[in-house]
Amino acid sequence: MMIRSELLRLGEAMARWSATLAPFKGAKVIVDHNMWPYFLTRFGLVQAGSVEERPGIPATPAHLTKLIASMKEEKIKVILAVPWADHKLAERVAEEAGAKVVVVANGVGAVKGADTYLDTIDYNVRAVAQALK
Amino acid sequence: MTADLLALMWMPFLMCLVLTGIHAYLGFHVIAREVVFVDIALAQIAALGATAAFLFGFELETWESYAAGLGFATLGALVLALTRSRTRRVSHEAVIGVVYAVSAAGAVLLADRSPHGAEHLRGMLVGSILSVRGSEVLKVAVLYAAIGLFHWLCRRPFFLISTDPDAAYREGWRVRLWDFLFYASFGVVVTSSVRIAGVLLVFSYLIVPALAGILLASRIGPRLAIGWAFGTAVSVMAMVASAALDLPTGATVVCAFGLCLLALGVFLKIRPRALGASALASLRTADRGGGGREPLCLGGGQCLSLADYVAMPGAHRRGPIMAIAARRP
Repeated sequence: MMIRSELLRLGEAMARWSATLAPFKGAKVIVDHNMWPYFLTRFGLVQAGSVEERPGIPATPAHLTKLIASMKEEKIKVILAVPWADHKLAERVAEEAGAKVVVVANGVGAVKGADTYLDTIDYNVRAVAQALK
Repeated sequence: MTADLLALMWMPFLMCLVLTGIHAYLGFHVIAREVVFVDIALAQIAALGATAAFLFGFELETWESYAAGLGFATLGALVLALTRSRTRRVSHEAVIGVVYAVSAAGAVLLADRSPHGAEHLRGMLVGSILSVRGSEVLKVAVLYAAIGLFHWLCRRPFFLISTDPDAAYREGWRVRLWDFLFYASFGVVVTSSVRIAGVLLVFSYLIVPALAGILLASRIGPRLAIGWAFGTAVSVMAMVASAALDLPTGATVVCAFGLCLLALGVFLKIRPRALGASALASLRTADRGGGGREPLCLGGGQCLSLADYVAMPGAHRRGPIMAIAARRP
């Protein structure tokens, strides 16, 4: 019974999340690390590029220049960032491209107030919807 | 594309020039004192401070985090100043090693208490020169100019203690106090620059231009000028290479410094006589003006010219730093 009620709550939450992000279907976002393929796919968002090109290797100037140019061209306004990384580079790219950095929780407890799984996805959905408005 | 690249790299390049300005100068001190790894030890203890602040909920970008780092670096400066002994039975580098190891291990213990603490620690030491913005360049330039002014005002004790500590003791300077002021101001610089550019880049800017200056000139003025010119030239080359060859900028600058120093070393090895003669001539000029006895002259108060270096038995085997050390009175 316990599991059943949990699943029911999850089902309700999923309906709520899908409704919140429905207006932004197909919207393009940039990520700092390649961390959100499932989240983005589930809600119909498109990852159009990554600040970090290869994991652990600092981005090269040519890569960042191309990224900034494509963000300007396609009017991409959001860079999703993990809470534990240094955001300075993402902030700089956002500034050059006229976008903003949005911190998204990569797991339960990664940001304040995201203490359960549902809270975590709630937080992320709200943050992304707010940023894409 | 080129204009975009320029827009992206302009501020990082200016920051490199600011770094060259203060680090090439400080490099002469740390080489003369034989404490080349002091920057890494102070950066690590500052990282320990910032990690502690992070445990209390202060993010890396906040001023509280910066202040905690600075506080710990000052503590490190105190340790370095207090552990100097007149007789120098133990190299100061040993103390520096201990400070480094203990603060690195301490940071691991603290990071163990916070999620992703290790990532924060890494970010603090790796830096990211491309993320530099105009406001940051200005802030750091003003801060380093103030430190530079402080060092200019205190140049007599600082240079005397760096090059000839025995003379400083004899003349009655309060060596520990001046040492503390030196390392504390050095800590301010290193704490800021490591956050911007990372440990490797800061180490390169500190040591390589100063080495080039020491190899090519004998008095502090020309040495500084050469250090600055060398640092600027390498920065320009590395920035262009990083843009043209699509390479990560920080690592490119560090490797460019290494390659240029190697090229300079090979050049000096091939043409020691021609250059040696000119360095000897400049030394003579300096001696006529009493330059050789100036306290502002590195190398034990007696300038070491390239000719001396080349003529010194076994100098090639020991390398330039050891050769200079051997000249201490």
